[in-house]
Amino acid sequence: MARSPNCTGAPLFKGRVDVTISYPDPDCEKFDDNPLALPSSEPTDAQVSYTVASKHMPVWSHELNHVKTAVLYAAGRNNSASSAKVYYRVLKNGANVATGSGNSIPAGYLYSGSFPLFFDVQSGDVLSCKLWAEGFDLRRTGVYVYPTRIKAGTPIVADFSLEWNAQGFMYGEQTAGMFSYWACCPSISNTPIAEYYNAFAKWLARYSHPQWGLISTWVGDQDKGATISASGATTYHAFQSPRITRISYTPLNLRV
Amino acid sequence: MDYRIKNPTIPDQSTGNGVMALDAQLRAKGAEGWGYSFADDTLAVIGPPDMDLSQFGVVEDG
Repeated sequence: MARSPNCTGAPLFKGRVDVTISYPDPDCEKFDDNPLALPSSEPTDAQVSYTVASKHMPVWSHELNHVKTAVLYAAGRNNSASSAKVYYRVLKNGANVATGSGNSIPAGYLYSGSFPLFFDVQSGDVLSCKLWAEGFDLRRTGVYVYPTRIKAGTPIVADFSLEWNAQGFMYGEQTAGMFSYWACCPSISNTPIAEYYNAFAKWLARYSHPQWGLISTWVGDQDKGATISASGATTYHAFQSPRITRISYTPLNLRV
Repeated sequence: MDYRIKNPTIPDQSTGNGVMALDAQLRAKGAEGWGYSFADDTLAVIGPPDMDLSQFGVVEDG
């Protein structure tokens, strides 16, 4: 066994960690044939509301220390004769999180709203969104929970590899090809580790940052910006982080 | 272009009327979209370069 030069005879390497993460089917509601008209002023009750439950949670083969974040989705159509925008109010457990409005949506276009505003969600949290606009409807809603700030038990690891699935999934086939803001990023930077359509990355060694861990996602963690934008005539967007599906590394018994 | 203003001077965002009032003010400046975070008390605005957002506070970046 190799020995650490800065330790007192303890083994340099610990046992290999190899963890898989699987995800439930997206919790997505589609009511294209019976859309809900949006009111022209703020409604009393949220039209989009999900209670985070175990059915939303990623399943780990061996759970590493991490934080869960969530994105709420809402999409529909501008049925008016002119371009207009949608206003929103996002709430967590009934408390205000954010307000705003997105890009102007051309007449006849679908719009897609993504609200990655729920860092550190827990089972039982109620995530909701109110929408209002002139001449718009609501056709699809959804929620997606995923891990970020995944940490190793030691500050330094070797032979770190990461696998992920970057395919859009929230709205099924209508999401494909136009879906996503990507992102896995280095621990303390928002520089992409690879293009989102790659599915594998490897490092000789990696630092498990006290805050950001081995790996943290962009959407829903470092980027908590809501978006509502036009998405075409038949396709919806769902800005999402790629789903990390496997993490493996060898912990190093080094002090830093 | 993205702009960010901490502790902005804006209409009360606890009501829908306040949301629409702020939207009207920002659109008049050329904003293409915006978001306000209650936890951070921060206004983020997307719009063209050289927007004059001084009436809302100090633009931290943009």
